[in-house]
Amino acid sequence: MTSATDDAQTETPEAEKPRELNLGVKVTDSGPCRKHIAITVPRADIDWFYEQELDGLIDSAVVPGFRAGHVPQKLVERRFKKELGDQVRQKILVQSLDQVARDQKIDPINEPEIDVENLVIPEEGDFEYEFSVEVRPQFDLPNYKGLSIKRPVRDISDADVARAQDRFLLQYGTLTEREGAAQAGDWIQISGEFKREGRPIGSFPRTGVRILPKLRFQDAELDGFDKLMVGVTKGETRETQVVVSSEATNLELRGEKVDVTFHVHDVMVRKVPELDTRFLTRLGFESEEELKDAVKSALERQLKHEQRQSARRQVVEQITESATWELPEGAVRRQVENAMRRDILEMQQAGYTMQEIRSRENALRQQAISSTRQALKEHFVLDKIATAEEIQVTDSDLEHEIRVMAEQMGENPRRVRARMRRSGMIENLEAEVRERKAIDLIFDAATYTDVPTPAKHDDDTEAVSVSVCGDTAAPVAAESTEEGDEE
Amino acid sequence: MAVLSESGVELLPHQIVLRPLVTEKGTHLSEKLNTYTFKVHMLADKESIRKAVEELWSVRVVDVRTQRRVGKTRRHKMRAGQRSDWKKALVKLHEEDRIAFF
Repeated sequence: MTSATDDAQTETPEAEKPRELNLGVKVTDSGPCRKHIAITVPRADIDWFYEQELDGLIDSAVVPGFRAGHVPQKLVERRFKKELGDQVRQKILVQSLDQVARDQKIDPINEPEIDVENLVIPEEGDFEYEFSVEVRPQFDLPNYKGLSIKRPVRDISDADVARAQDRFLLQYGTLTEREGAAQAGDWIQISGEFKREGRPIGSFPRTGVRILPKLRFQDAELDGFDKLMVGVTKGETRETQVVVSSEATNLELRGEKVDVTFHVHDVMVRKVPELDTRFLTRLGFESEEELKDAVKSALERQLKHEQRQSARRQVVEQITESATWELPEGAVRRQVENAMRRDILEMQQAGYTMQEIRSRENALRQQAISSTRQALKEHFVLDKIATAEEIQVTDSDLEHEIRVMAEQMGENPRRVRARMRRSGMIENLEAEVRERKAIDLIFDAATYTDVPTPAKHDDDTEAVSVSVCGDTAAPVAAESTEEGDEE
Repeated sequence: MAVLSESGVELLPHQIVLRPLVTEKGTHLSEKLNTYTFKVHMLADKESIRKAVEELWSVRVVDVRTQRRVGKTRRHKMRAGQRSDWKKALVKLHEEDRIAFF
């Protein structure tokens, strides 16, 4: 509503202040975050708009037999009756909606549901119209200043640095075949099959994995993988069972036990090259000390990231804790539909039949509804905090964000900006930056309690991009990330 | 009421008065001199125009003046052409009578 008025004002700068209309407004609640509004525009105001439009048209109307600006008013009225009516209707709608939003302090979150084409301004008498609109939920801001946040802290010991350095160097190692049986930490090439009650449900091709205590599939976890595999030799087969996760996409298999057979094709050991000057130069370091410093600073960055993530989680939890107010159902529905469309499209691309998709649709919908509700609550609370604190997103903020995105994508910032403008994503980015600034503000005002937290070592888990249920999703992370490369 | 023209062709009022000429000049004449301009049938004479206007708009005609407008020559590519001739009538009404075209 506001933007349309802004446009109108830019077009006619001479109309400095828009006419204050004598509107009759009746606002009633018609559901959670939903208002029904009936507006009556008095005849005097309609006539005023009509005359304004007519004056403008008389000066510019082109009619055969008349010079421009010399057409009699009655002829203009008769010949341009429809155009005049449309323009007057549009101006009255824009201005009345704007005035109602301002006077009644209505904060709509979407366009009002008005069938503009079917609205007719009567020849005589007042013009009445009504519509429904979804508004932002009204709620009291939760306390967001001085929140108590637990900050995970830990000292980065020399042992941590050494472990991280080993992990880092491991990726430069070369694989050589092991003579004899496999040992913990070795690399093996395996393929396998999944069966349930003797019936095959899936398989995976030859994949390289490290023998670690845990093997993580996309939808299941196998504990004691090292115990299973230590001592295995090339050409041998091992069998075990895994329990499918309760989050698996295949509803039937959730929580079920599945038999796994691993075929071992190769057993290899990775040899790390000696840390000499030549190898260090190849890595871009001058000395071993420099490498250690780089590894340590990477660990510190990770800790900072972890702290921020944990703080964000806690902040969002605390500020939405008391959010028991109702959400605009239309907005929830729209968001859920968007999420559903995205999921279904992904499933179609992954080769699912429509029948399979339909059978999962309800489960997907339930998941989407709960996550959407939480996301919307977060959005409304953070937005209100941003408004209360008068947080603004400047052009330079957006430019910075776009530049960072462009760098990550390896594209020209101008191209990224143009694409975002075209697809309307720039508003989303603006909202995201605004929310982030609000969270930063909460962080600044929060009180932190340091909680010593031991480092989470992923050294004991190996992950493979394989689904037990047979519907493997494309891995999001690159190969190097899967191997636990944190640098 | 049919009117017999000089040529002996019988014309009805709506065949005599073809259309009012709504132009800047015509509007000016109607406002200032109560004189209305029409495109009329080429065979219609002043008397038949008077009768037709009186019948069609129920007004009293004081005076009728006519003009034969020669059609303009127009050329399409290499071929010269001619627009039709037409007749214009300026009809002055009694000062108490008016015609509303608009």
